[in-house]
This record gives sequence, structure tokens and C-alpha cells, in this order.
Amino acid sequence: MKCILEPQSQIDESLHEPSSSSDARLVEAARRNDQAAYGELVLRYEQRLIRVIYRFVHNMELAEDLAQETFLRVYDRLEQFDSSRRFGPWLFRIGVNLTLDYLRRKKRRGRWSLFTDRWKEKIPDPSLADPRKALDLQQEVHKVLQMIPEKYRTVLTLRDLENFSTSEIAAVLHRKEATIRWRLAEARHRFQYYWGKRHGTVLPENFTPSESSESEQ
Amino acid sequence: MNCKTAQRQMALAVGEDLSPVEIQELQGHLQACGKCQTTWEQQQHGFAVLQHSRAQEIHPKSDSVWPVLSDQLREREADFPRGEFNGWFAGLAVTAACVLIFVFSQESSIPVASRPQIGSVFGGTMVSSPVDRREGTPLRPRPDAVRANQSDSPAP
Repeated sequence: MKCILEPQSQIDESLHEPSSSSDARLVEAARRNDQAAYGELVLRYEQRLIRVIYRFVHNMELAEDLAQETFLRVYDRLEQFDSSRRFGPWLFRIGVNLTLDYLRRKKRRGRWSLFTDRWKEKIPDPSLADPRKALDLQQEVHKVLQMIPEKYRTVLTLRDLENFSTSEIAAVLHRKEATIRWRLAEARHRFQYYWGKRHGTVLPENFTPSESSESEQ
Repeated sequence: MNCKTAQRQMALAVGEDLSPVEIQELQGHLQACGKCQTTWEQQQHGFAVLQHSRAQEIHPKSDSVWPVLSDQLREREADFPRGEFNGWFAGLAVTAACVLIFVFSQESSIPVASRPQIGSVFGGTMVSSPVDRREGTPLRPRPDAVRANQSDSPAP
């Protein structure tokens, strides 16, 4: 058995975040109509924001559009920003919420079209891999993530795919860190379960995903 | 530590999300429980898949969204300059709505008998009785009021 005390190599990328004091200065300048200052903030955060949004939508063009929309909203709400807090989590909260809202709307539209076209085509079982398609790993991971409920998937995506710390995720999602840790554990279990089911590997013992309550934490 | 707790802790330990004390407790359980050792290996496999996926590069299509964004902000700035008060239209709309509400509330509080007989302009008195209003029937001129109006009007 591999000793769990051995440091693993996955946490290689530290969360690079520009200093919050200079962010606050730029926000103040942007509030006074200094667009160059806002441009500086956009350049600081856009690559990270686009990457995070891409993890949810899996379409680069759409990710860039949603990032742009996020920056517009943030600009409109600069007056509401509490300068005593960090700008990054606030920006990502708006971006992640915007993305999740977009995905929910898309899902609702999808449900409606499934209802209207239900007799036209047979819907494949998402828990079974389609042998005709050779999907790359990222697409396959994305498919499995779609099987996990949104509140767990969001935490898993931010932690394991974008390397946010649990305290940063708590700030972005406006939840207690204990809640985030609970959801993270549940999300990793579910990912392992569905991945194993889809690829015919051994499933975790004694685990079946259930709608368990967070009060168990 | 029981197996259920250990499984939850394993899911956190695999991503180094446990404190050293928690790791020590978990390790103690794993050394004694073969079933959980198997689960631990499976957890590591699932986590490795996620890490491989994360390692794949993501390349944005454009270098920066700022050029397009700054154009949009400039256009909006030209239409609605920031810093100036842009709430005149909303203010006027709210005032108009308040005036209308006030006028209608005044009208409904006037007793039926003392209301101005608007209908007389058109040759008949429009009267709404409480019964008419309750039952939602359309307002119609009362025949006797029409006759009275006709007798009041000068002969051609």
C-alpha cells in the first residue's frame, strides 16, 4: 500500500493570485472611471477565469463569451464591491454563478426538447461507454462529471481541476469551509463510482451514491 | 474510526485535504482494515484520472477579451455616461405611476351619487351600481337616467 503520508505530486501549481492590495487600488481607480485600471484587472484574471469557465462548459468560444459577460457585470457592480475583501473570489463568484445559470437554462431547454422529441430518437444510457466513439480523456472526464449533482461537481471542478484551495472555494461559493470539505469528499466518491461503472473497473466497497444530507458533516 | 468515516477521510486524504492529525488517525485505521486499504487504492485511481485531465492544456482562442470589452464599455459610456445621474427616465416613470395610482384611488373613494356624470356628455348618464360591479356585468346607462337627460336637453 502506498503510504498516504508520502507527498503526492498533484499540487504542483500554486494558486497564483495578484496581491489583493494592488487589486483594491485598481478597483478604486476603476470606480473613478479609469478604464485603464479596469483593463489591468481584466488582464490579471481573464486567463484563469476563462479556464475555470471552460471546465464547466467545455467550449472555448462560449467560455470566452461568458468571461466577457462576467467582466461586464463586475464593472457594473463595482460600487457594490466591499473593498475590505479580496477581489479574486468576488470575481470568480460572479463568473461561476453566471456559468451555472447558463448551464441550468440550457438544461431546462434540453429537457423541453427531449420531451417534445421523445419518440423520435432513443436516448443512450449515459452510464455506459459508447464503444463506437474514442473520446479523449478530458471529454470522458467531462461526461462523468455531468453525472454528478451540480453542488458536488462545482466543488470538484474548482478543487481538483483548477486547484483552488477549500477556503478559496468557500469564499467563491459563499459557503462554510466545512461544507465544502464535505461536498468535496462526496464528489470524489461519486466520481470514482461513476468512472468505475462506466469503464468496468472495480467500484469502491460499500459505496453507492445517494442523496445524503449535508447535516451529516 | 469506523469504515464509513475512514472512507470520507480517504476521499479528502487523496487530494491532501486532511490535517496531519487526521492523516495519522486514518493511517492507523488503514493498517488495521484490509477492506479500506482496497478502497484507498481505488480512490487514488479516481483521483489520478482527474489529475491527468487537469494536466491537459487549455488554450483560449483569443489573446485577451479586453480589446472587445473595452470597446463595449466605451460604447456604453457614450450612451450612458458613468457618474452622471441616468435615472431621469426611471424617476419620471415612477412619478407618473404614483400620480395614476393617486388619481384612481381618489376616484374609487368618491361615492357613486357624487361622481361627475361623464356619460351625460354623450347623451346619457353612465351609472355603475354595486350589483353591476360585484357581478362583473358591463356598465350600461340606466333607462330612467337616459330619459331624464333627454328631457333636460334643449329641443332642436
